Amino acid sequence: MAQRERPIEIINPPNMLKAKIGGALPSADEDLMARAEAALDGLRKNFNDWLGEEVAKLEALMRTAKEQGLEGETGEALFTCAHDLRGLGSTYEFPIITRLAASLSKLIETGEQRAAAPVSLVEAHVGAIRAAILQNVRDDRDPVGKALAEELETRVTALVGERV
Amino acid sequence: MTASPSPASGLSKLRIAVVDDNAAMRGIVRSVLSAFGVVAVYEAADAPSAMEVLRAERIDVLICDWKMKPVDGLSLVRTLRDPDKSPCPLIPIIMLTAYAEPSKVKEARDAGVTEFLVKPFAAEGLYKRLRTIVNRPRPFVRTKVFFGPDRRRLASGYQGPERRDDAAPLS
Repeated sequence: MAQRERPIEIINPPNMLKAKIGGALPSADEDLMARAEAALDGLRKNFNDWLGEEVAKLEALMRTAKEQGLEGETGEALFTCAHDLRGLGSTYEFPIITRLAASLSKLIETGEQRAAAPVSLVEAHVGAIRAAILQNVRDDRDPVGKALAEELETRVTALVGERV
Repeated sequence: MTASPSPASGLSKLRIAVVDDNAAMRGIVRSVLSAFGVVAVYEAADAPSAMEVLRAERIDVLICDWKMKPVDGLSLVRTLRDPDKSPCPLIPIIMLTAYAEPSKVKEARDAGVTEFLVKPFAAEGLYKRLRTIVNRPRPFVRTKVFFGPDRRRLASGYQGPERRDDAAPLS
């Protein structure tokens, strides 16, 4: 067991935010969430373009990685791009891209992993992400999309293990 | 489109900064915050720009991405929790990141993050984090190696005496 960090000083700052707001924040109500949904609706028309730009960036990095390998800056940039797509896919209404990008991120997160990662498996992820857009496969209710995601995840886990 | 502020949210008086290297994500967070009634939303594309905003404005809450260049979000959090370097060492920080692994949550907590929210995020999740920050703020803890929000949080709200035998509350 780790040593306790001693001595410990506990500080209770005054709750300036509560004072500024004028009291406690109420629970989220339906009206508030509806407003948030409406705000996102205003952006929704851009989602396909924004997602397309992110995936085009991923593909360009993949092309460079095939020439230069996954080590160095290209591999790191590829991971960053995959990591971003993991966070953006579902927001852009393609949850399967979040899933595929999560698998790719897991495969190439560290320099050590990138050095050992089969380029073909990395490319298979990038291809699957592009295919999801081209065929409008948005989530794993699509049996082919689901099977592909599971297959890629299984291969990645076999290589790098589970992440906790 | 910008949603009109919700007077019920009570958040209209807060000033919130969002630092994320992805402009679209910043826009999405801004839109959701606007829908909650937040008027003053400041954006920064990287950690140095965020520091400039934090030095220039009295920001109440920082929403911070992790994976950024040239300085990542975790380093930004560590700097902000350093009283010698930070303009606001007590600022509540929500780490908004695509990292979802428990080890990453722990790493963020150990750096001094107040709340953790995984991308893709739901508006309700962001509101809940803001509500927790306002209604149930964590006390701060200072040790030789850590300064930041208490990394423990009890769901039931412990009412008894401090159980750390070496606790030294600030008098």
